[in-house]
Amino acid sequence: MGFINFERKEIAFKVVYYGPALCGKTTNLEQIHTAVNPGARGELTMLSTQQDRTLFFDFLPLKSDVIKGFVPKFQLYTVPGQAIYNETRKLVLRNVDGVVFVADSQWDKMEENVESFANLERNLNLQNLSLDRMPYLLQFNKRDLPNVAPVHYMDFLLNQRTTRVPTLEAVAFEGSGVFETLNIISKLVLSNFMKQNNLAASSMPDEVCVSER
Amino acid sequence: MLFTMTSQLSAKLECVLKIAVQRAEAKAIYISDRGGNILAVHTLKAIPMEDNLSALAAGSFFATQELAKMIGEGGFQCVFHQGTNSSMYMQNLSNDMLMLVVFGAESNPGLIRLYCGQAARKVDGLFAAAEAENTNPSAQFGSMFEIDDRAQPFTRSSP
Repeated sequence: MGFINFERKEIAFKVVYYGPALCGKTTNLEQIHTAVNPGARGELTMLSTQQDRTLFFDFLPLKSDVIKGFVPKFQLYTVPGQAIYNETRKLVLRNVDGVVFVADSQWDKMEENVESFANLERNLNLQNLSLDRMPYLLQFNKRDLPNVAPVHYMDFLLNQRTTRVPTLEAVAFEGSGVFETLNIISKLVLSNFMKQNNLAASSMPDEVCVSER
Repeated sequence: MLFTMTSQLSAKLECVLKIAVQRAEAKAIYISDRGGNILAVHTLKAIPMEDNLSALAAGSFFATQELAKMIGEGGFQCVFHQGTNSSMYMQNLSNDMLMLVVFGAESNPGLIRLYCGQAARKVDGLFAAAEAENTNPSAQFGSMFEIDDRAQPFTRSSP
């Protein structure tokens, strides 16, 4: 969808970090806020419970200079991962332009990953949106832990739609893979925006696979 | 559909908001979409973190719309948050837009509701007229965008 303001020379995109509880969505935004060029970032707003669990959403506005003459603004949101907050997740997904699905790589979290991914599909469908037409990628987080599932198994579980999407390995609390994720989803969103509006032939590859570790 | 804010529409909105701020004795008025993107604004004094303010306000307001449905309402027309020195008024606009008004002790909810309600109707009219003209938004900016494909959208800060 996107939004263009000719007066301010801005284009706004909304990117949502989605995934099961405690998979590292908020940590991604914290690391981006810490590491990104200060001129490109706004303030990070987090609405958490007393146990530091996301209650409503986290929000981080960023500006890029990748389009000459315009300022693309990427508004990064997280959703609360806990099952009881599904209504909030639906709200946050409104008008979304791209999704980062953060999966927890631990073996015992595979069921939660699959449930959360199915929940994402359902919530998008409720808004007449679909992953078939939505730029998204998969981030396999917590790759530093000892009990992680192999990447090819996670790919088998979560990346079996008609069009395969980029996957990245990450250790979000160290910042590993976080920036790569941000840059790839940003490019995918921009590319989709150009395609949808017949602005230019996209030079982005249809499928990007990046492994960090 | 892609929403485009033209310079002409922006100027008209700015005019409506400026009058509303003066008459209602408000500090600031923002028009945003459902995602919290600021479409138009008039402030007497810059408010810090306005992107965050707008995103949170939009999230909060549209959460109350879901609450409204749970008690049998189609939605709430407006929501007040009353503080000691600063307060907020949020009004539903057509097409999933939101008007956010920040005001201080020098004004009051009645004044805000009267003048900002009038402004909201004018804003709705401006958006409706713009939407009727905005049949092919891509045509307006077809040759304006030049993306540097080799550049990364975001870079790390220097250590």
